[in-house]
Amino acid sequence: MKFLVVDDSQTMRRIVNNALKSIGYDEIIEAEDGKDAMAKLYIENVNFVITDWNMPVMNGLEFTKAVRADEQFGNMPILMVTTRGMKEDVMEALQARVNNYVVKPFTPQVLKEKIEQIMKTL
Amino acid sequence: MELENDGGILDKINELRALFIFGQRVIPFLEELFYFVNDMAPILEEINSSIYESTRRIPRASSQLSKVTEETEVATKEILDNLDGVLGKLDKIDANFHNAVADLTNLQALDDEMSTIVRRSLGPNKLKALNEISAIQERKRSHIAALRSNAAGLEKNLKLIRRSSNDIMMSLQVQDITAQQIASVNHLIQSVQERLSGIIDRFKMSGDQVVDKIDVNGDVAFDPLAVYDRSDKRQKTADEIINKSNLGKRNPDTLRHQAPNPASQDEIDRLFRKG
Repeated sequence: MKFLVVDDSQTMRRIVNNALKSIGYDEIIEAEDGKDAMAKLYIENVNFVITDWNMPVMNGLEFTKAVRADEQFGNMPILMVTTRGMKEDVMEALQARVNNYVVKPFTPQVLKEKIEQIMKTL
Repeated sequence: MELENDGGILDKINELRALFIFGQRVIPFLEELFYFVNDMAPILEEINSSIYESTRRIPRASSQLSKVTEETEVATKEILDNLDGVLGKLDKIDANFHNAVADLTNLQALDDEMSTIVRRSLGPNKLKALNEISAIQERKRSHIAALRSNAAGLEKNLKLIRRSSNDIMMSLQVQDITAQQIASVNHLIQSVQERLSGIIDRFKMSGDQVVDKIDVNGDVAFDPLAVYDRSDKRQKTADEIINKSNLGKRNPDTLRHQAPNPASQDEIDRLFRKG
């Protein structure tokens, strides 16, 4: 399964990358904002997206909406991993139709749990 | 007619008198006001220069905060590089370790094989030699058992080192969170500086001195409420909302149905007919 990790922080990209490897997922590509990620979706055979919310150029919410509106990637599993932990934030992300939501700082165990939950519903 | 005129003049005189009386009363107040303004001027000038100095220093404070973010990012990258190195070495040690355990098993099997051949060659008459071989074999087995036990301990410690390395790595999320907190403070500082610069411009304070603008490095997106909270309280809140939304039970078809559907030709035609 190929993952696309979208985060403007290089540190976070590396951390998510390593967390994915530690739970057994090795195929990972990265993007630094929603626009970059959208471009990568078209050229890479991505199966799962993990995206941050607060990013310049195109944030995670806008990116999720753009993916959902796209005929080709409308059903792409999207897991949002963000510092935003208010109820309103989760509701907003749900309205944008993310598949699940992880609040930073996270553990590889939580990441694994959410990925598996999403995969079960597909 | 003359009387009427006299009355008018008297009124005017009275008005003038009242004005003089009022003037007499106001003059001391005006004098006081004049002295007050005179006294206030240097104080105001001091306030002006103080605002100017504070405003002038804000970009430096802001740039120092940005530097903190940059430096912690560099340090975090170094730690991550080192951790990657440690984890890479652990992978190699793990692989070598499993090979060593397999070699130990193979060694034991070869030894048993050799022992069988020796026993067969010596035959039942060489009982003393056979007993000696058995004793040596027993000692060998206990050494191999000790090696296996050490290996199990080593494996356990390797797992602990791996777990600790991963824990350190996950703790480094603090860098992203503090970077967002600093970006939020910087944004606040920038707003304050803009307001103060506006005041300086409006009152033309401190002569022709110009206040430097804060140099913000590109677009920075941040969560003003970012917090490094290791408890799972916020995750539980998110989980509750997700579970209530029944999202976990969705299937791709549901998602597909919820994706914006293009309008059918019939629907478009109906809209145009209404017009």
